[in-house]
Parts: sequence; C-alpha cells; structure tokens
Amino acid sequence: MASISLANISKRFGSLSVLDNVSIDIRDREFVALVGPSGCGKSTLLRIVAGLESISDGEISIDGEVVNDLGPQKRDLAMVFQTYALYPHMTTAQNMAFPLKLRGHSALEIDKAVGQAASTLHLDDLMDRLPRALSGGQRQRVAMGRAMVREPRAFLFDEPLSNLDAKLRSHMRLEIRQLHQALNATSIYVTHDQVEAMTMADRIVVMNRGRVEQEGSPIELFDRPANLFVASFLGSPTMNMADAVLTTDDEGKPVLSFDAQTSRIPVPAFTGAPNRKVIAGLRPQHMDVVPPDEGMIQAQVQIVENTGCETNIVVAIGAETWTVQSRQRQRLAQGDVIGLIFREEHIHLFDHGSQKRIN
Amino acid sequence: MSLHGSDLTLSSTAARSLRAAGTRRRRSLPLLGLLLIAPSLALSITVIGYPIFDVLRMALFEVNRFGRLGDFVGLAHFVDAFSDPIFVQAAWQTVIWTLSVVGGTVLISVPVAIILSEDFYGRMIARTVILLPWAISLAMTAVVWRYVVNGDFGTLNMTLSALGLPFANYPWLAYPTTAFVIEILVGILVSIPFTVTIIMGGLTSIPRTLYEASALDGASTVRSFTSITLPLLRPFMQIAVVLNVIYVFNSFPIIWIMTNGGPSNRTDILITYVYKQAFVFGNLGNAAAGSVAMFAMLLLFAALYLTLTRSTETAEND
Amino acid sequence: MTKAKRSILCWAALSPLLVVAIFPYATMLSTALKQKDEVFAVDQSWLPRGLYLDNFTRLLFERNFGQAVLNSLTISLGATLLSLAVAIPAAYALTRLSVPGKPFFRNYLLITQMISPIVLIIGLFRMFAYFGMINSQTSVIIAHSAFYMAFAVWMLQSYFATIPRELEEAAWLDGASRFTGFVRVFLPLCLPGVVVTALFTFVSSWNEYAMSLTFLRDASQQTAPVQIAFLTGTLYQIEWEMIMAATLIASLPVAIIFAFIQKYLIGGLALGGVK
Repeated sequence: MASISLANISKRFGSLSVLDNVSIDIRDREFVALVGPSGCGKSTLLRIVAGLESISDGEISIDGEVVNDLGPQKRDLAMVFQTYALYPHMTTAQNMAFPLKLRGHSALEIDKAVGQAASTLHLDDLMDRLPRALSGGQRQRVAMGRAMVREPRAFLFDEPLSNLDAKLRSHMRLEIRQLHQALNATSIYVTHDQVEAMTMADRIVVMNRGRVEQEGSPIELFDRPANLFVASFLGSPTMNMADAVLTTDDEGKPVLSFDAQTSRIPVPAFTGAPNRKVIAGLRPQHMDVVPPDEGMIQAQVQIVENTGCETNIVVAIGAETWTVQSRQRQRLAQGDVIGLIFREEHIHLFDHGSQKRIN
Repeated sequence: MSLHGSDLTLSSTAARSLRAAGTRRRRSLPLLGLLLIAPSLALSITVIGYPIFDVLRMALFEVNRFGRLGDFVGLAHFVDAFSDPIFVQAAWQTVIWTLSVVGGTVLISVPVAIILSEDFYGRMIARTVILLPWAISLAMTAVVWRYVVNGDFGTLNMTLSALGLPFANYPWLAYPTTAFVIEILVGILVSIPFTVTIIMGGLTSIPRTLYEASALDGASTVRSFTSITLPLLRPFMQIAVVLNVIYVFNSFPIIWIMTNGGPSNRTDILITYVYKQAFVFGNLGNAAAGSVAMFAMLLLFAALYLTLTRSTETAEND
Repeated sequence: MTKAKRSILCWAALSPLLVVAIFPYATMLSTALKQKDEVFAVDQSWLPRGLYLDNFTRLLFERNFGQAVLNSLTISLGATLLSLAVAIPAAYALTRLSVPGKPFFRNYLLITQMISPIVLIIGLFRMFAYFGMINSQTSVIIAHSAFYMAFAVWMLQSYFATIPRELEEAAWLDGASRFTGFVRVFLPLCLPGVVVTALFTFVSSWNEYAMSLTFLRDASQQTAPVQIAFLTGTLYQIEWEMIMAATLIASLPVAIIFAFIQKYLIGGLALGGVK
C-alpha cells in the first residue's frame, strides 16, 4: 500500500489548461473521491496518476518516490475503467490471471491468487466465460478482480459504476466499500455522482475547471462548503441560493434580509464588513413549512412533488425559486402561501464577489 | 447559476478537443509514431515518388529509345505529343469513354443499390452476384468478353441467333463504333460493384427514423425519396463519381485486351496511347509528356476529391 | 406489400443486370468443358456434350499454366505480407500515436491511392531496370505493395479505431509493455480486420495486369492474368476452350474469397474511403 502525493500538477494542451496547479496528498489506506462535473479534469488527473497521461508541470510521487517519468507498467497501480476494459478475447480467469502472467508468476501462484479473488467477488461460477457473456455487474466484478489479484500499491477507479443501473449501482457501492475495508488499500475514486462520493469516500476532493475547489471529509464539505460551487454541487436537491443584504438591526446585531422580503433574520457569525451584499444559501432539508404568519419568510407554492417518503415543494420567494424538502406529507396546492422557518446555523453565507464562504 | 453552466461547456469542449487531438500519451512518443510510419513512407516514396520525378525528367529532356537522357528540351515533347493527331483523337476518346462509363455506372448503380438495400428473399445472393465482377481481374473479364462477343463462335451471337435475331456472324469488335460501345458497356459492368457498395454505405447511413417521421408527416414514397434519400445521398454520389472518374480514366486492361486501341486507333484512350508510345514504338519522350499530362489531370481529380470529402466532413460537423 | 411480392419485384428489376453479370461466368464454364471441335462448330449450344475435363489437365501439365498460377500465388502472397508489414505499424501510429504531419500523411496516402501505376509505368520500368529487377517477381511484389499499401492503411485504420483505447491502457497498467500490449491485447482483437485487409490486398495483387505485364517479360515468370491475355494474342487459331479453362482456374478462388469478404467492404469502404 502506498501514499500518493500530487504537487502543483498542471496540464496544458497548447493554450488550453486542463489542470491548473493541483495539489493533493493521499495518505496510505485512504479512500479519496475526486468529484466534479464532466470536463473538470478529474479523469485526466486520475490518468496522470496512472501514468497514462503526461503532465506539463508538477511532481507526482508514490511513497515518496517521484514517478513523473515512470510508465504505467512500472507504477504498480491497478485501475478499474468506466468501460471495465476487460480483454474481450480472454475468459474471466484469463483476464484476472493476465497481470500475474506478465509478471512471470508460476501457474500455481496464479491459480491461487485468482481463485482467492474469485471467491471474494463470487465469481467462481463464471471463470470460463468470455466478457461478452457476462452481465454489467459481473463484468464490473471481474474488472475489480483483475485489479485485486496482484495486490497493487493503490487502486484507481474511473467512474466504475456509471454504466450500471441504479439498483446495481447502490449495491456495488456497498461492495466496493466493503472490499476497501477488507483490503485496506489506498484508493482514488473518480465520479461525477456526488452520492457515490459522499457515501464511499474517507475524503472528497471537489474539482472544477481544472482546479481543486475544496477537499475534506464528506460531512465537512456538506456542512461547510467553502464556496458557491461546492455548495451547489453537493447535496440533493441543490442548495437554495438567493441574493441578500447584510445589515445591522436596532441593537447592532447583524441581520439578513432578502430582496423581496422585509423580515430580518438573525445570522451566524461571519468575517468581513457588516453591511454588504451577500449570497445566502439554505439546504432544502433545513427548512420547515409553517403557516404564513409564523414564517421567517413567506413563499408561494408552485409545484408539489411527492416521492413517497419526502415531499419536495418548489416555491417562489420574490424572483427566486427555492425547493423545500419536507418529511411530512404536505396538503398544499399551487398558489398557496406558506411560511418557512430555519435555524440560523443552517444559513450559508457567501461573498457576493468572490463567491467564497464568509461564515 | 448560468455562470457555472457556461463553465461546464467550456471545459467539456476542452475535453473534446483533447480527445480529438489524440494526445493522451507520453512525451517520447512522437518519435515512435514517425518510426512506425517510416517504412510505409519509404516504400511509397521510392516506388511512387521516384518514378514521378523520373517521368517528369524524361518529359523535359531529350531521351532516346533506350532511355538515355540528353539535353534539356523544354516543352518540345509536349508539343510533339499534342500535335500528334492520334494523341488528340485519344484524348477525345478518353473524354467519351470516361463520361459514358461513369454516367452509365451511376445511372444504373443508384437504383440497384436502393433495391439491394430493400429487404427481400435471396438478397445476399443477388448482392454477391452483382458484386462478383469486382472479384475478377479486369484482364480476365476483358478476355472473356472478347470471346463472348466474338463474331464467329461467341456466346453473344449464339444466344442472339437462338432468339431469332440476325447477328449470326456479326464481328462486333471489327467496327470502331460497336467495339467502343461494347468496351464502354463492359467498363460500366465492372464499375457497378464499387459504386453500388459506396451508395449502399450511404443508404445505411440514413437513419430509418427519418423515413418514419416523413411517413407520419404524410410524405409519399416518391416524396421521401426526393426529399430525404437523394439529398442525403449526395455526398456519397459525389465521391463515387470522382473516384470512378479516376479509376475509369486510368483503366487499361479492358481496351488493351479487347481491341488494343484498334481498329486504327479508334478505341485508343490516353493510357493505351501512352503505353503504346513507350513499349511498342519506344517513343519515350512522347510517352513521358503524355504521362505528365495525365498525372496533372489525376492530381486535379484528387484535389477535387479531397475538397469534396473535406466539405462533407464540415457539413457533418455542423 | 408482402415480402414475397416485394422479392419478386426486386428480382425482376435486377434480372437484366444479373444476366449480364453471370453471362461471362456461364461462358467460361460452358466453354471450358467443351472440346475443340464443339467450340468451333457451326451449331453452337450452351451445354457441352459431356463433362470433359481434359482442357484443365492439358492446361496445367502441357501448357505449364500451373507455373503461372504459382507465380501469381508467390507475388500475391509476397505483396500481401509486405504491404501488411508496413501498413500495420503505420495504421497503428495513425490511430494511436501523435505523429507530426499526420493530416499530411493521410492526404498523401489518399492521393497515392488515386495514382494509376500505368501513368508512372515508364518511370517504374526504368527504376526496376536500373536495379536489374526486370523479370524478377520481387519487382512486382514491391510495386504491388507500394500501390496497395495505402488502401490497406485505410482499411486497418478504420478497424483499429473501433478497438477501445482502454484495453491497451488496462494492459499497460497490468504491467504489459507497449509492444506486449500490442501483441497480446491489440492484435488478437483486430485480427478479423487484418484478415479482411490481407484478403483484399491478395485479391488486388492477384488480379493486377499492367505492372505484371510490363515488368515480367519472360513467360516463365508471368502471372496467370498476363498469360491468359497472351494466349488470346496468338496469330493462329485462338484456343478459346483452353483460355476459358484458364480464366476459370484463375478466377474461381478469388471469387470465393471475395464472396466472403464483400460484406466487410460495404462497411469498410464507406467508412474508410468516404469519411
């Protein structure tokens, strides 16, 4: 197992910058998720770690050894590809044995390692099948098996679950997580699915436009997103945002007022000037529906979506459209006016200009 | 949030151009690429490039019948060739030959390709039979047809007389006009397979849903042919025409074997003229000048082809 | 319209062309099985008197046509191997590596594909004569490979492009060198494409006439198509029954190969040549 360190990695194609000064340290045995919208550079970064892609600047080291000029063959990493990349002309057993064969292991050793991986992954009955005779989930397992057999220094996952249907995906999520606990292997997991990142990773690195926006534990990122991008990227439904003004009340305490609303809402501690324009964010889960006159702000119901266990209420607050998620069944109809209440510690404040968190 | 939206498009364009550039590789590899291309390039530059140079040289210098080069003569060989009445005649015949063969081929190939793209019993058999002439050497096709149209014992006259038609001993290849017409027909027959193949490729590229949509819109079969099939087939037809022009313009064995350009040079085309000048009369200067003229025309066609494929590519991207 | 009805219509519409396409084969077969006196008889018929195979045996043993077939075989095999040997690396580089001047090389290949060897035949002849390679089958092998290589590169390229890059990348991560990855993962997967390309090159070389005619002056070196054409050039009575037997021998194998690969051509040509 290994620690992997990326220092000031940049990648450019001509004038086009794909990665811009990215630094990430991955500790031994850590499970790190790289997450971001498509095109943010996360897959490129993973491929750089794998040695499949060159870098324009920076330094990659594995266990302290700089590997910039080391080919993928020599880095001793294993990768699970989005398309699984199983060798179509080899059976399950041959696919899993291939890395060991290349390393010149004896037939006995290979059989043992492959057999072990196969039983861990419940592949015993599928050993003689070609990839095209396997289902999506089975292929996924074979790809993992091929990565496991040779006990690499780290596992790299490139959106491994994105080709599976929703049910299988949540099952495989669990399985990969269990596998990680059992193998205790350093893993880098690239995904665009924030739920995967949240549920699986020890640490999440949120990327956007070739840069790291924020890194931290899933809960840290969810509770204290460092900027608007992270705030809106993590969490479902998306965090509600609105332009707001910070002022002080008669007692000199800072309060928040939304453009359309007269009510003044007490706010948590923040840094910087007390009177200015900000962007205020509130997660849909952090609001409660009350009669209009009891609410901190009033809203008009536009659409009510019942998912069974939760109710998503899309409301208009002045010119803004917010979503409120409620655990209670709400008897509401379009056009109803409701009140919303929330706790001050759930308010996220972002600077209007820099879009950075200020509280 | 629209700000973030535009960020996404920007970076996904980046990712696309990244893939398009195919630059997923490590630093040392441009050299490997060149190394892998080198043998093919060397072979083709030696065997194709050097003769081009040599033919140009022969066209511009004095050259005796054994190929020994003498003084620079400028365009004298060209003047000689162009003022040879047989060259001029061959040039006209080349135009007739190329236009009739390519025109006939396209006229027949489009309906044939459409029929072969229909779903009917025995389609694979019909397809194979129609593509079969492609598999046979042009030389042998020419030999067989020469026998088929043989006046005295050819199977064509045999069949025609059996049908009661008065062609018992008609010597088709002895008269310039009938000889040329028969050569043109054989030329069409051997060009059909390639053309049908290209057009069928074009037909399979038209999505079925377009026809379903136009049927729902109330278009008749004829209407959907003229407003869907033909326009979408156009790039494929253009390319089939240009490539056929090139192949037919260059076609040597049919005429060489069936009539050898005769009777009295009336079926000669430029390529048989050049070959005769070089290998029958030993008139290398003339032959080289003719070759250069033909080569220039070929380059013109090739340039036309490249612009056509380029414009269809951009059309596809739009 | 039912499928049966449509089938009748389609076959009816195609029938004139089908008849013309089959006519030469019927002629070949019918004449090759006839005896000399039948061919030149006043009353001709399609059906030969009986199953007369002497034309074939005489052709192979008395006329040494077997040698011509063998020459054709040597040249076609040689040209196929040589053009694949240079086309496979080139096609791999074009699909997988960054090569400076790649678009230029692509266009160059396209143009060489359009140049007819006959336009350059005097230059080619002089070059091979300079190296003393006239009457040597090597000259034809080299010339054929140079002219058919471009098409082979195009065909291979369109197959190679269908093999996902990830497979090789997975092999590299599994510890395979670029070469091992190519041989153990890439090549087995594009074998069908390589086979089709090889067959197509073989057929083109087998059928080529003008270059073989020009570079091989000696009868013992000549290929089957050239010999057959020569047989028709005699001033004496042309032995059509022998010639037809010879064309049948020379055409049947390639026609069968072709029938197998034609369905790949429809996809390959349309994609490789047009787009």
